[in-house]
Amino acid sequence: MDWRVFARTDRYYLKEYEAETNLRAHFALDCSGSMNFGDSISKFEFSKKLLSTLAYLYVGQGDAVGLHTIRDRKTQVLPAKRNPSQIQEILEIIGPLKPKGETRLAASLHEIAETVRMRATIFVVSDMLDEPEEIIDAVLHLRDRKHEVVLFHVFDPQELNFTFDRPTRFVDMEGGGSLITEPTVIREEYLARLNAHVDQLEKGCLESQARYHQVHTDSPMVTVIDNFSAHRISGKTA
Amino acid sequence: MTFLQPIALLGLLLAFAPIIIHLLNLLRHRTVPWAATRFLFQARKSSSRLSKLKRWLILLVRVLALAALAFMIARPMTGGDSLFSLSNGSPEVLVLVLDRSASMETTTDKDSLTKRQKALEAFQSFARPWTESRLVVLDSALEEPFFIDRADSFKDEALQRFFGPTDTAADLPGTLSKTLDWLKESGVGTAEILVVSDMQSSNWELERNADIMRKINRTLSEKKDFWKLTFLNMADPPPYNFSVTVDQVNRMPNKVEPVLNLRKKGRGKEEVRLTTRMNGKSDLLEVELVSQSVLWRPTFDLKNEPEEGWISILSPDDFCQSDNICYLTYGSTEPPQVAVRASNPRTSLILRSASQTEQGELPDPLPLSGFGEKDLLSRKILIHQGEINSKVETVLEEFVIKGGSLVLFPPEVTSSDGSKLLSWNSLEEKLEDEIFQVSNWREDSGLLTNSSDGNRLPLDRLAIKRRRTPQQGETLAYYSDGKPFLSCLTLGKGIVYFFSTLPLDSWSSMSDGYVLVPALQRLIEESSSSNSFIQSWFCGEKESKESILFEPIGDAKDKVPYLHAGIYRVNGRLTAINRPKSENDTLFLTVEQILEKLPNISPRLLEDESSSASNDRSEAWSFFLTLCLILLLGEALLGQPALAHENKAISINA
Repeated sequence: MDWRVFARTDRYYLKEYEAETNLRAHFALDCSGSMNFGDSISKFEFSKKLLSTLAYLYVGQGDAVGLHTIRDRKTQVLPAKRNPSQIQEILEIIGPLKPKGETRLAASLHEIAETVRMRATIFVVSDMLDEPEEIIDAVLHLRDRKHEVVLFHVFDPQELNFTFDRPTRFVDMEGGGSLITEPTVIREEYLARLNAHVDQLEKGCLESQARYHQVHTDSPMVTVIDNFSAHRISGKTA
Repeated sequence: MTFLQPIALLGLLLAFAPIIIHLLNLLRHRTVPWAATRFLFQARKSSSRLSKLKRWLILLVRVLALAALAFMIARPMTGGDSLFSLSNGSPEVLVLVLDRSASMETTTDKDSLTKRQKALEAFQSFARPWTESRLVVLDSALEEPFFIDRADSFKDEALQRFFGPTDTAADLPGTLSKTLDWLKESGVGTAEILVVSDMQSSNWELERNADIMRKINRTLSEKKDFWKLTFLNMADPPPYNFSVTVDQVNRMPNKVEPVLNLRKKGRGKEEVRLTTRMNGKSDLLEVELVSQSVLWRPTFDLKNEPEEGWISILSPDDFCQSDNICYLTYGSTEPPQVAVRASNPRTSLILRSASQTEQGELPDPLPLSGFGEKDLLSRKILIHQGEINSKVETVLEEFVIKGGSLVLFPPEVTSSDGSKLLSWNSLEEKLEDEIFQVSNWREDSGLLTNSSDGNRLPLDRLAIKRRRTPQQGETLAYYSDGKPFLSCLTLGKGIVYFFSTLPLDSWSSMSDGYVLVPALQRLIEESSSSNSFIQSWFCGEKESKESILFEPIGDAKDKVPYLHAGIYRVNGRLTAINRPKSENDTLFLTVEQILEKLPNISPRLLEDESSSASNDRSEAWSFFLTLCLILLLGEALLGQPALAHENKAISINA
């Protein structure tokens, strides 16, 4: 109610305006060896594109963007800044990065929860090949710190279809050994396990009010960003 | 369980192929770097026992399917009621070996069906229990396998015509042997063979066919459990029968006098009315039969008839129609022109005497000097003895090439410049008490063939003191030392005969005529018939089977020379074809006499037309085929991926 107008004119006026809030976005990029998997494009390369695109969009609208690269026990951190040159900083860091080592996603997310003090949105880009309970624990930790959490679960189509027809030796990309098997024999069980893993993550995110997005490396980036934006808008209006 | 193709059991080794392929596949694995190995490890760890069992089951099913396939190809045999036999014990093939000779056209006073028709009906009854078997007929006339769709197909008019009456003889051991050969060539596993015959002795000739019967016995004993033989004896002689055959045809000027052999069953005088047809014109003749067999010489006047023609003689209906008619042809009476040219006057006289015509006309003597082509004009046969110079040789060669017959006797002295073509070896002589003896010769055909009553010519009694053996030609008679007594050489359209001795007392005893006269007369007769436009054969003989261009005359137009007696024009020549005389044989064998020749097997005897026989062995390949198909179906079902999980994978994408 605009009281001044009311005092002057004796009429009721409602004054409407939009005030923009400043967002702090922190990107957590999984740099473990498993992210190197992919046929035409690896999950890691796809993740870098996704991260860069989002960072560019956020910096463009005046938000502060930070980066956490998660590899083994070393987590490289770039504090969040609103400066447009931040994009350059981010690209210079992730450009030469090569994925290797074991996944320690949950532990790194706990570290981020402890280190990021100001309320922010944490984007986790990973293949989530860690114990789902531990990932959900870390998400809850982040939520406790009042952070908004968005999980981008990156898949290569081969992982989802598992269309191998001859005996194959599968070598773990994180150095976890290998196994020879008849894919047709274990396919059903593999897909069942994968489904259970995804279901568990989805359920955990739902309960902790975190956002879960499944992205496939064969999807166009525009589609991925569109889907993500649509979800955010629908989430806000809801 | 026995196998018809045991070699196919080697195919069992193929059953290991799925295991080998499985192991090879494991060895030929490819390596893939993989991110989500945690799920693979979990999947393998907790891969259900069911899926492992399923995997082994698929392997087992594949192995069993291949083993079943190998068993199927090996064609196992089981007892008819065995669990493995899915059929009703039907043999693979039912074969009717049908005696289709003329004597099978006999009826009885009980019904009007001939033995041949009853044989076809008997086969229908015989085949009735075995509905799954293929039906094949091999008859004695055609001796080729003929497939029948159904047993009752014999009721079809076309098939009845096809297996209709014939005027042929039969060689049943030969037909049975051919049947077994065909079964072997066709790889038939199980067969029921029904032999139906009236057991006429001349159709079996067990003594002459002893080798064939031994072969049949051997083959059937080898296939004892698989090929079964059954006999149906139809030796039921007709209650009354009259037959007429032509023994000889005597052609006189303006008349024909055939010698007819009339036979009847039963004693006592009987007057028979015969219908004759001469060149299409019918007439009736009456003859009185005073005994069971009579030789009758009717005279047929040819004053108003053509020079060449035909006559048929038909007796009244009785219980065997096929022997009621006989056919004959007559031709012109012109004898072939024969000439003799001999350097020795005595030899010339003997040779002319030996080759005189039935009317006592002696052949012309030809001059020794000044001999030329003009002397051989219109001649068909030249009998020559003496030297042959090159000029004479040329004339003689041309004579033979144009179709003449030349009979050569050696010159008495050795020629210094002997002929190159018609040459002789040097003279050989025996001492006073020694002779050259003829030991063997062709008795079945040619100049020295046996007489019509089967007697041999007395060549072995010839006392030969001197000889000059020919240097060329195919030998027709041999001396005991292997040298030729008589040889022949075909030249162009004609033929040359070489005798190695002379009909002179100083050379041999040929002048007595026992060998020389029949040999020369046969040559004249042969030359006469080959020059005439008439001929006479027996139905089913080689000549009748080889006739391609023929036209039946007088009777039904659908007759063929190799099956039906009658008058035909074959290759332009008027031909009388009669049923073989062996079909008049009244001697019938018993089945036991035939079985004596088949000691290693125990054929069944079919007493009547109904059959209750059953095959106690049957093939079990159909069981293994079914098993193989079931196993393959099982393999396909086991190998089916679970659809529910497919959908799960898609739901992740969504």
